[in-house]
Amino acid sequence: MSLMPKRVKFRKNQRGVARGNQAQKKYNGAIKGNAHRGNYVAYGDYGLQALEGGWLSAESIESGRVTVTRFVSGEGRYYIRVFPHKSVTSIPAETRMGKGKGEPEYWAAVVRTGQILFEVGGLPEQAARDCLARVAYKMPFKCRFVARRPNI
Amino acid sequence: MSQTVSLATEPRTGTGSRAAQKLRKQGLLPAVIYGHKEETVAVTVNAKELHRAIVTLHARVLDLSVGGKTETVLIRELQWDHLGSEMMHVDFARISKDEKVKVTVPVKLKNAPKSMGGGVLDQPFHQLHIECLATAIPDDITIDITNLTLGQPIHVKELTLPEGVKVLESQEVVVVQLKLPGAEAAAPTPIDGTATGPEVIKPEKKKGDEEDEEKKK
Repeated sequence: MSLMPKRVKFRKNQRGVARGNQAQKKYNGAIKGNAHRGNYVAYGDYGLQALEGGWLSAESIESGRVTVTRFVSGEGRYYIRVFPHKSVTSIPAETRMGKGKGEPEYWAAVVRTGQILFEVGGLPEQAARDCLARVAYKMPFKCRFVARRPNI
Repeated sequence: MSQTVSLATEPRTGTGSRAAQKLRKQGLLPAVIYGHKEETVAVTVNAKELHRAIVTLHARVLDLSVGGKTETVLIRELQWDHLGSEMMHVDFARISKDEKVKVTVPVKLKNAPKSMGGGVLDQPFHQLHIECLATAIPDDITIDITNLTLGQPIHVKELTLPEGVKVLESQEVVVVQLKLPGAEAAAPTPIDGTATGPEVIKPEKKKGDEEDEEKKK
């Protein structure tokens, strides 16, 4: 039960821009650039912010969702701020090179540094910290706990 | 009520991101003062002092010393870096102290509901737009939710507001409520593996294209 788009214009996406050591970590490096949207707590009271960039697979989002649901059920609300819009393809093992692009393997969300991944509301701060720490453990990048920005 | 804090400013000549970056390294924050049909002035303020005024003292109105004279300003806009940890730039709007201003104030919930009744706390509005005197901007609008029950939300019209404060949102808007967890966003669509992928949107064929294809045949 993982997230994926209902309708797409194209089944396969281009890979996007990665940074870092292109030779060794080709295409698997952190995503270039910072999040300038979706980088503040908007719906809940506290959030989990990514401190690195990368692809967040639909399975990872789902495992985070299950963790949050178990923690907040009956007490508060949670919000998932990322959606896996990107299909990631792969070529099967022991296949000769060429013959075109591989088939879609999984769906992923493109996460840039600063992106808010999950939010919780209606929980005391300590409970929110405990909850999001468990989620952070399941995320493939460094994350931190954030609260709402000062009101202006 | 938010305090009025005094801050010193220095005129700023350099423009652009590089000049702003140099200032930030020195602990200064680029800022701009505008409004009241007077000239727009580019200035710098001490980043630490402004951070203290905003985050600790919850100041909304400041007394800025600009070129020897004092100006009363409202913090109109604040830009943060991508992580939301450091301020990048601040906009000050000139105001007079007897002027009415439109600002947003946070909604603060006090106490906990006596009985949740199987519901979860839902707060659609974390901020409210208000209109009040510049000198009487409240720190927040506090709502006591002790008597909140399922099916009886608190609307804007039921709020107890400080004197002279008018909420600009519709009176019927729900600010806080208890909601059944089942009414939350639908769970993700069940999909087994990647064998069944999403539907691919195919471009609609135009009449001209069909005729061309027939001719080719």
